[in-house]
Amino acid sequence: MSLLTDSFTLFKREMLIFRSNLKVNLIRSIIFPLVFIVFFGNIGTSINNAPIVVVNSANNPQSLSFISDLQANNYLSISTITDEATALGMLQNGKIQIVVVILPTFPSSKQNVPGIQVYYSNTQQSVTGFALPIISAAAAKFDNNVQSVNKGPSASSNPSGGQVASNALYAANGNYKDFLVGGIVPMVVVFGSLFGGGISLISDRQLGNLKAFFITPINRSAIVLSRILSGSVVALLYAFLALLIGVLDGAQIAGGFETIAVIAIVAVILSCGFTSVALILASKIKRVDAYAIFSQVVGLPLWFISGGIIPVQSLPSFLAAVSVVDPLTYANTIIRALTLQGFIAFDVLLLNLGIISLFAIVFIFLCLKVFKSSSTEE
Amino acid sequence: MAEYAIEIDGLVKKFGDFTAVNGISFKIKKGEIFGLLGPNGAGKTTTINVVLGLLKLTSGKITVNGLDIKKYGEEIKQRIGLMTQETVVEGDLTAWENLEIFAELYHVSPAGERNKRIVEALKEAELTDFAKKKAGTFSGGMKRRLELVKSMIQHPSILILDEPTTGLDIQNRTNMWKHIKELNSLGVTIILTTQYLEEADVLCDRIAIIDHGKIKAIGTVSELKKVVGTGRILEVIAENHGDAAAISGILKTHFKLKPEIKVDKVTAIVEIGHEEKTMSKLLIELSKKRIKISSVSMHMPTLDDVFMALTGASTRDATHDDNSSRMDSMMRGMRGMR
Ligand SMILES: Nc1ncnc2c1ncn2[C@@H]1O[C@H](COP(=O)(O)OP(=O)(O)OP(=O)(O)O)[C@@H](O)[C@H]1O
Ligand SMILES: [Mg+2]
Repeated sequence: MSLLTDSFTLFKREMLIFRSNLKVNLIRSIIFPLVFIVFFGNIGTSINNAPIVVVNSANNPQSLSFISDLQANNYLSISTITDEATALGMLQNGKIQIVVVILPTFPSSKQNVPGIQVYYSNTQQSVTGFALPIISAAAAKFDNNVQSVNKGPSASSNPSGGQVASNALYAANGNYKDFLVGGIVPMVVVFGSLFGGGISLISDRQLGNLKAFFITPINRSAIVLSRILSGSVVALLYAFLALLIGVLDGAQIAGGFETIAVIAIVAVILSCGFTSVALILASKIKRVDAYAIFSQVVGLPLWFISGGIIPVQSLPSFLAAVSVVDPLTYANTIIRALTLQGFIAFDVLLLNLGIISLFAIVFIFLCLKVFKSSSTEE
Repeated sequence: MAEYAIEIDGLVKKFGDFTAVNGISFKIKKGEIFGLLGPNGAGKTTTINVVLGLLKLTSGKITVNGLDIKKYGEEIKQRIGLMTQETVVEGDLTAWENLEIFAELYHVSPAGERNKRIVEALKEAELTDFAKKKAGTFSGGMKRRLELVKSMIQHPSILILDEPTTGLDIQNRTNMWKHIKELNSLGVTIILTTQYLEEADVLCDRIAIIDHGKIKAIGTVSELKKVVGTGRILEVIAENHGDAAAISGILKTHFKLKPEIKVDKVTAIVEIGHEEKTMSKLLIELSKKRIKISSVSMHMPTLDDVFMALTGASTRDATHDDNSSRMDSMMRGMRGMR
């Protein structure tokens, strides 16, 4: 019982301090999203009319319907040819970025029998990053397994599929800014949590506040819980501001209230996890400047490989492999699906939420453990 | 009821190979003001941190109000207030908020009682008009007063003050002394550490002199002054450092005294009744030998003399390194960032 009230008291303190420095905190938090969205978002390539060649080897009504679905999408420029070898040659010459081969097995509902084979090159990453989800979503309407094969400098194969409602898909406007705005959310959450959680703990230790808390009869876990709580509130605020900046700059976010609600949940879970990471690091690193550098070293790569600014499909294969253990990858999967398509299959949502929740729970637990045993001794 | 507020028995505290506190024992009676006097690095703060459970002791035993701190850590926390050596009021919060947070952390309830105590505390600290002002804007003295009442918000029976007046000006210092005496007269047992002999002299019922983690002497002020004998202290300061040895030689051979040299200062104990004769003979001897002095004096023993005799150093030589305070101001700049 006292754990809750103690946590709340310390949470109140954190929030009062936050409010007291509101201006500095807000400026610091919006500067990154502002630079990224306004600057990079506007110089990024638009993928209107991404050139795609479709080879129809199935020639059944479903395959024709699939092709017309693709043609209906403003952001893809679809041409059909009959010879697969010619198409792959065009891909190699860089005339096109993607070849979609509709296999004779189309439509296939069997897990290991692909109905569609996608070949793509990595030369225009933003194109493939956009087009691939659109293609697999369109294919999912026919309950198909898509197999994509990267013909670029580094080969990778990402089979993906699932039931995707095709209507929602077309609501998304496919430019880089739209892509970026979703990826900014995990970034502000992670950097906000790493920086805020860590620096406040180190400065509280240096100034003697931690000692002052330790001599009161509170449960030590309250110090951790209050910071996770305040970190989440602050992260939510930052995430909302990032989205707002994006929207004001003209980015479109598909979906409505549900999109925002799910993004908020993702932001809170991520913040819980990363505030815990920050507190663990800060309990080992005694100096603010060292911590500030170290948190960047941890945060930046995690963000880069998570598909935050470039699609995971476009990463070199060794980084793509590392991105599997990056919780931000899963957060981005959810947020991207929502902001670009306005829709995410329930099982996909559950799986990805589950993974980031597991990450958060593990680190909250570790953090509580570290604090239980820590003393003020160096 | 236990007779002693705090009993420390054979306390040893090591940091790795370094022994910061090396087997100290003493008992603090309920209701007294007890002083821990010692130069920088003597082990004062370490001793306090162990009593508060902030550091684990290496060996020894400590009881607070008769309760072993190893077993009753939580109960004891409610009974002890601490004002730390560094001022730790939260600059981004108002005076009221600073007090409120700690009243809540000490589980002072209900809210009505909390508010009552905060109002009282602000009045006591003469900060009623500044209740809604951010503590960061306060002067050093105001912050220190706020911290004193903050450390008393749970109404503890024991109050530990770690160098309560270091860095305060004379006016704030005397003011702080007044507050400490008032609290003590209300029945609060007070333990204070200090580097200032004058402070220990003015405030403390009993004093333990601690150096290099060991207790050098313990007793009332007058008991301690007897350490340097019943006589008067002769103090000669040479104009040139090099002459100190010569002065010491004269005192030894002509007056059969046992002088001590500290850079340019030579001190010796002179028996009562011999003060004037010694003084005038010394001046003649010195002018004969053409030794120039910048001052000579004869005074009653002070704690400073006791300290010098016991630790071989004057507390005035003990200087604070400014690193920590520079660090502090840097931290304050960054701290609001969350
Ligand atoms: N956490 C620590 N790790 C290692 N050594 C420490 C630690 N804390 C204190 N010490 C050392 O123990 C010794 C005693 O330090 P302590 O802080 O108790 O001195 P003090 O009497 O309070 O001095 P001051 O007047 O400077 O506050 C010092 O030499 C100090 O360097
Ligand atoms: Mg100290």
